[in-house]
Amino acid sequence: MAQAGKGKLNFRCPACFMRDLDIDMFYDEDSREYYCLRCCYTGSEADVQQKNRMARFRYRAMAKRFQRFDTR
Amino acid sequence: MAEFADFYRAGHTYTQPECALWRDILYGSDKQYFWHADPYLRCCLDMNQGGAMIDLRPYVAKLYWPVGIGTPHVQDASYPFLIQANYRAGYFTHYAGEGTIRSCKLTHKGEEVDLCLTRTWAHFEKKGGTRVLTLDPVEIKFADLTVTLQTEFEFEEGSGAVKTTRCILESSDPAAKVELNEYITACYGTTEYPEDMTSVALGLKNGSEERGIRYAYRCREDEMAGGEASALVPPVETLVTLAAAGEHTAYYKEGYAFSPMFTLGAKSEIGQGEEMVTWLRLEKAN
Ligand SMILES: [Zn+2]
Repeated sequence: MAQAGKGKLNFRCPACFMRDLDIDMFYDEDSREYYCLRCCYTGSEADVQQKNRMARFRYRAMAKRFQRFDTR
Repeated sequence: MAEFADFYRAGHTYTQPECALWRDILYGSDKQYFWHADPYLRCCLDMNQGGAMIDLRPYVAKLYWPVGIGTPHVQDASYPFLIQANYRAGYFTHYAGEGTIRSCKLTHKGEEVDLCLTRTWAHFEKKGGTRVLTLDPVEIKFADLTVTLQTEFEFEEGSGAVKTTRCILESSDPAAKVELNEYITACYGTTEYPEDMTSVALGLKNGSEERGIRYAYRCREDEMAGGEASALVPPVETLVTLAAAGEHTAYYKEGYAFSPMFTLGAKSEIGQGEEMVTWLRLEKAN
């Protein structure tokens, strides 16, 4: 098995990110998966995308457009 | 606990290590960690990072470390580390500079590959007074060369040292040479926040020469043919040495404010069927 590299997209680890840890993953060509050096997460691009969607639940106002910044 | 201590002492000698080759089942990653602990050192090797050392504690220093109100460590009972890849960045992913780790870089025609990027598995055995961890060979692909490299770690009982042997089993060009750069990047602490490094002394010595510097965050480096590189880390009363066998160049690298660590290393060129042997040694120094 050859050394891992960067994938075509640079994904951060969804498991670490859910703990507010910003860790870039590497891509293992042979098993076609991204994997984290810090934790036990491994997953395909589709799985990373799906877990990233999961991690977004915190940003409740993500789709809201803010027009004014002077009100409480 | 006293009962357990009696039981443990009855079945163990002072130098006998505890070894655990752990494989992740619960998270389904199948990755392996190897933990070794004895009165001289504790370390963790991560097979998902080519056997890189991701944790190292200098137990040999036998630090007096009182904990509780009225002591310098009110709640932090951690024994200080020299390497802690999670608290101190480890193999770099996207920040500038490297964190603490003990690994090896292979270079061929300017291309560099760190063994941290190879995923492998290990086998453990006991040979007399030595615990041996043998890793499955990994393939390193350069643009015009592929080598198969095997790593073996040996923990000789009571030595306070970790011996590492890297061997090129196969090469797509048997005449080609690859530079191996065995290194340890370390610091000290118990948390993710850097400590003052100015008391650290970095040095190089061979049979006839000796020189060194006091750490001043100036990103300096130096090298010497043969010999060994060392770091004296007074706050944890430890001398860390990286020594190598055969023809090689030893070096050290000082860090800087945003990478407050030091690196000790040894470089050597090897080809198919050849090996590079290094020792990481910890000693008490005060
Ligand atoms: Zn992770």
